[in-house]
Amino acid sequence: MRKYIFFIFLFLLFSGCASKSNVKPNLSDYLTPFDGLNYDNVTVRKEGHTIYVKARYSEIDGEDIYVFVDENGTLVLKSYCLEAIPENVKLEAIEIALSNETIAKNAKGIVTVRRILPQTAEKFYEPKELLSVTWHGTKVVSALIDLEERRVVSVYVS
Amino acid sequence: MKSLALFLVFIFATAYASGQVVQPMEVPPLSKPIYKNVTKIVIEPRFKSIRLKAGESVDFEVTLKNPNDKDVLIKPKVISNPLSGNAIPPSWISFDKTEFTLKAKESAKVRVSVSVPKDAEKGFYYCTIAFTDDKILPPSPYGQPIYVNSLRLSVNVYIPPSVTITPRFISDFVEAGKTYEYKIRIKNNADRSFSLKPEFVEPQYVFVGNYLKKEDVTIISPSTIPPNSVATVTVRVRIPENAQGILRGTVKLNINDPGLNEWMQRVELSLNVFRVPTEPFVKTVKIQNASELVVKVSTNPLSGFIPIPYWRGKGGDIEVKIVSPSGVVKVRPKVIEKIVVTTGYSSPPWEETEGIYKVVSQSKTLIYDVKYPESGVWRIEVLPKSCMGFEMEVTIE
Repeated sequence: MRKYIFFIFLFLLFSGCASKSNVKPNLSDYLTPFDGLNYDNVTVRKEGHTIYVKARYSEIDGEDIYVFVDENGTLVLKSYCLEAIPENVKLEAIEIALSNETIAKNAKGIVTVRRILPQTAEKFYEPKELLSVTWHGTKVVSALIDLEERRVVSVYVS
Repeated sequence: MKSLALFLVFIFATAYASGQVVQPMEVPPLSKPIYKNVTKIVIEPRFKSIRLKAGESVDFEVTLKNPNDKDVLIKPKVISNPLSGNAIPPSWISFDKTEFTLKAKESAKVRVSVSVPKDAEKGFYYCTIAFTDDKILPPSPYGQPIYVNSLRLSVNVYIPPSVTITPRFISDFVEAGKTYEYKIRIKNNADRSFSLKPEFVEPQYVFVGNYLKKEDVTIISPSTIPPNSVATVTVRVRIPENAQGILRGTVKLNINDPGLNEWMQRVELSLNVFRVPTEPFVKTVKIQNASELVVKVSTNPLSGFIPIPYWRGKGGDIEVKIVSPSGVVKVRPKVIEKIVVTTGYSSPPWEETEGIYKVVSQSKTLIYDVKYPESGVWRIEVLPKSCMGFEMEVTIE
């Protein structure tokens, strides 16, 4: 039932722009859930040309947020914050991050673990999904993690 | 060109420094020109990321614009970089147009079809789709040519898992010397059975807390999960008498479901050997002819190597009692909730979170203000309810 409501909402949301450009963006094509999973709950909010999407899984804590801009029927991803990640994966990412000396020496504050999509990862490493482990303290300290290879591929200290 | 300029600057600087006249000399060519016969056109998009199941296919459109004054021959082809992870084989990709001329100042669309074979393995695959042969040869003999009129394609091949595992993470407060039992529920949603061979694994890297030893963990499990049924795995953990801190370990379920990654079938244990205090912490203060007593108690936002499930630093709760020499003083506290929100401003460069609000920590402060407190010994009792610690500040004026 929830899925149907969601698709009806999407239809209403995009019916306006479809009449202009004859293009109906299918939002699910633009969302990238965590490996092998599907979102159970997706909410969409539109403000002008900006579309805010919040997505959750029933089994995993946390929320994925996507911000798109509708450019003539094509959704362009402007920013994202993907924190719905299984706890064991987060913990493993933190462990890998702490195996880096710079991170281990500087990691202070609240820690967040976020997914980095291939289009962003390509700029720093390879076009594959990576994880960003970041400590928000007096300094922002972050490690970009390749979970498949269990290694830190880049480090950032503000 | 830049190198040549630097070289000349170096010659002039040397001449100036030594005061000598430098004779004109011939500068040998630094290297072969790397740009040769390159005509740049506009490709939209430059990057495409696709997520497909094995056996699925998808089409997408690429727009090519030729801003030049001359026609360009378009001949799309797949370039697989052998150095970059899993390469997409050219057989996965096809084009609706294999060769055509894009006239000057005109644009055209090419439809790209991506078909993942049924037997493809899970993972990320990459390739470059070059629309013309225009390329830059990097100066290094080992470098790969860079196709200037190309798009980068990333395909995430996934297989949806047939079984669901709950919970994936077991977190508990435990007491040393006791034994605890935890159940893992595995639901098989498929019409076939899967094998199951759970094992306990001690952590490979221990940066957070202590760890559970194999001899302290017993696993009771069936060896198969029949179709459309639920299996239960029981994990019995004995907490050693001398255990302290957070004990961690992993149950690897080893289910032969091709849709499950290694991480997806691990159940992490995080057991906090900790006795939740039932008696409050007591601080006594001596007051003599004071005009004001201010007690400020804050829940401690957790930081650093934060044990799950507290790492998100919820606000927490505390119970505070202020007792004067005559008895409990009823005073309504002023409540301050502090949250730390990020907007992406100070994020690392790979977190594209601009404009997204995220609460990264929360804490609560209670301020009790007692005017003209009675002289004598006062007791301040603080009992943490759902926080791991607190800070207290007492001001007497």
